[in-house]
Amino acid sequence: MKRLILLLWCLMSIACATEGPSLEAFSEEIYTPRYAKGFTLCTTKGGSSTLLSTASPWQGAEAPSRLLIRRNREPLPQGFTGQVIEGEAKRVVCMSSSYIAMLDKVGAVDAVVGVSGIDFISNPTINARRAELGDVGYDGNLNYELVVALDPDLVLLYGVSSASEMVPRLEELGIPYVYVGEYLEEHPLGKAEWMIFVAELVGKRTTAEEHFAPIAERYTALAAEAQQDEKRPTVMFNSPYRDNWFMPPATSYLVQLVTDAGGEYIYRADDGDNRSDVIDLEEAYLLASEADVWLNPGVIFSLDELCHRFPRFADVKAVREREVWNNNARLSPAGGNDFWETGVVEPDVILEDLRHLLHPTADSDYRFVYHHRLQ
Amino acid sequence: MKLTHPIRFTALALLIVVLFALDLAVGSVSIPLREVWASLTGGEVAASTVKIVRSIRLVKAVVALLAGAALAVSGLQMQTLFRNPLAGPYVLGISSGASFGVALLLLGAPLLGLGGSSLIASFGMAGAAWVGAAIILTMVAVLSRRIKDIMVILILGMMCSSGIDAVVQILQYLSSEGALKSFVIWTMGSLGDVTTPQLALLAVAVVIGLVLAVAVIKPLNLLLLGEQYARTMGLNIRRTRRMVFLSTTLLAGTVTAFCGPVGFIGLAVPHLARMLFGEADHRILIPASALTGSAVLLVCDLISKLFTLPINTVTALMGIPIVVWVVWRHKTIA
Repeated sequence: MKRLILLLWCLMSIACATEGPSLEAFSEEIYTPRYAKGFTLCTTKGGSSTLLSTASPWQGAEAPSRLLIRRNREPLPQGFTGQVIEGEAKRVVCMSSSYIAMLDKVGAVDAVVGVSGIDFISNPTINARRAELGDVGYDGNLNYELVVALDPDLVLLYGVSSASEMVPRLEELGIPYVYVGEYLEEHPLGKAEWMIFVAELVGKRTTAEEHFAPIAERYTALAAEAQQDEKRPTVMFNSPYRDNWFMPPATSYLVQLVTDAGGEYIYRADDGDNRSDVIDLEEAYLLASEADVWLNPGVIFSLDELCHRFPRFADVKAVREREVWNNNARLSPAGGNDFWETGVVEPDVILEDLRHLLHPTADSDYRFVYHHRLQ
Repeated sequence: MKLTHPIRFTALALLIVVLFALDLAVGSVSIPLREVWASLTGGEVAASTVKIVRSIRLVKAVVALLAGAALAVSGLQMQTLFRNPLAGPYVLGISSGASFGVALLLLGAPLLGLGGSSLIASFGMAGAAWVGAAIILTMVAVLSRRIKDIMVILILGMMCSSGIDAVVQILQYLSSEGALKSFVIWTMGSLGDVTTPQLALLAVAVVIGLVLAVAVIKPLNLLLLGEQYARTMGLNIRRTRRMVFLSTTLLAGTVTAFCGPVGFIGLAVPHLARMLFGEADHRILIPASALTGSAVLLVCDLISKLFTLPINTVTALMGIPIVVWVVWRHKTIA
């Protein structure tokens, strides 16, 4: 009997010893985001594990999604239901090309073992390693066999308007995942700051911080300089789709970039939500005919092509004055636009492009990176 | 000639076994046959190999087996009920209903500002699709209680689904690119997104649906001779219709919920079964369609794996020649 009690006592003390800290104990921020609203990186007092929280795993999500990078065999937080990886990830699958750009920025692109839609990725290292990488396909029709065979420590994914369809299957297969919410950030620096979140996953956070600081500094300086401009050219976005024109919301990434570059978005519909507005061709014609600059008219490479495709818009001011610009100067052979890949971690470069195209007198021999003028 | 039926069934069953084994052996990751066998029997192989074979290939092959049988049998029932060789499991609007459910989840919820609701998220695409399909069939079933002529029901079903398709288009039109892509990929179908608990649900629904189909074998045979004749033989037409609708909801509705709309199997396979067995008797045709459906969907899955194509495109490309052949053989549509 005594032995039994002793055994029970031993078992209980083991159970108590493995009882971890509460989730609230993860309150020490190891990095405080300055622009991004969607993530936190926390640890406990004296602990070495990192708790990564994605506030909105998809647009409008109610609860955050969490991942714990567990170090030194520290106990799991009590009642923790999130994902856990042991130490930094060494083999990752990226469901979006922007994560590849973030990993590349901190010199960790070699950790990528699988990608989604390899033909649409611009990254040269990834393209050079095509043969050894796995293309896992797209959410909703994923090649799970390949995902398992790639033996990843972590899958970096996103949710569009609800949870990723991959999640139940990944949980069943025991493959950890993390939601990267960079695409929901509206501020260009907020988007880029997610590189610190992604870098933490592969143990390169400090490198990422060193990279991000000068980007933020340069962006802020350029934006401050642009605020001195007296003339603010008006900007029209996109192009008609059949008899509709999709206008980005006033709070969006592209509009923020244009505003910071010293331009003015020509469309003002303040209905407060962050969805694109659909306007008809009459309203679009009115806006387009007034705009000084026409930006990003879709998959179009020349002015002739533009006039041929949208003859009704061939006589608007921006076309007459040859102020139509597109952001597709850097495309992968299959048509993936590097603006949405590397551009995500180079908001300062994009801003400089926009600054020069909106205020051309500033520096005449500037070489555009992402944008080109339609000829 | 009757004697050859058992031989045909045995041959078909053997073919399914071979195709099932092939489906387990083939995949984007090359695994030696010896290791596939070892993973199934608990031999010594790498953990990741076991995972690939058991949790991915085996689940997918079983889904193909069940979904093929389910779609073919529900298609056969619809063809007999509507006396229309071009009817299939989706004529009553099941796939439109399911698409509507998924479109509301993926495209509508964010527009209504409900995208974040964890209740809606946990419900998932499968739940939304199933509810959408069930609502449509309930609607058709309720309407059909007041209607004698089966052709009127057919027209009502088609109008219902066209109306719903229009609403789905409005949702698509207003949605973001990302949400739109998720939806479009869903409509292409996929046999590999089913988790093990979902597979259990699918299996139960398919078994119940098949049992119901077996229960209506006699009424279906009577219906072949025309509704009037069946009625004079004492058949309760409305009860039969209800049973067939319920069976179809369970079979095609559940498959669509978990795999997306998989086209042409339900339409083409019953014809293939008639061709193979030269029979119109449902005692033969129901098991024959079920087995042929499993075999055809296993072949489609193999092709979709070999060429990395969505399952729906493969079933369409395999099914269209069969449908063309049916129309060609009938020549007149009367």
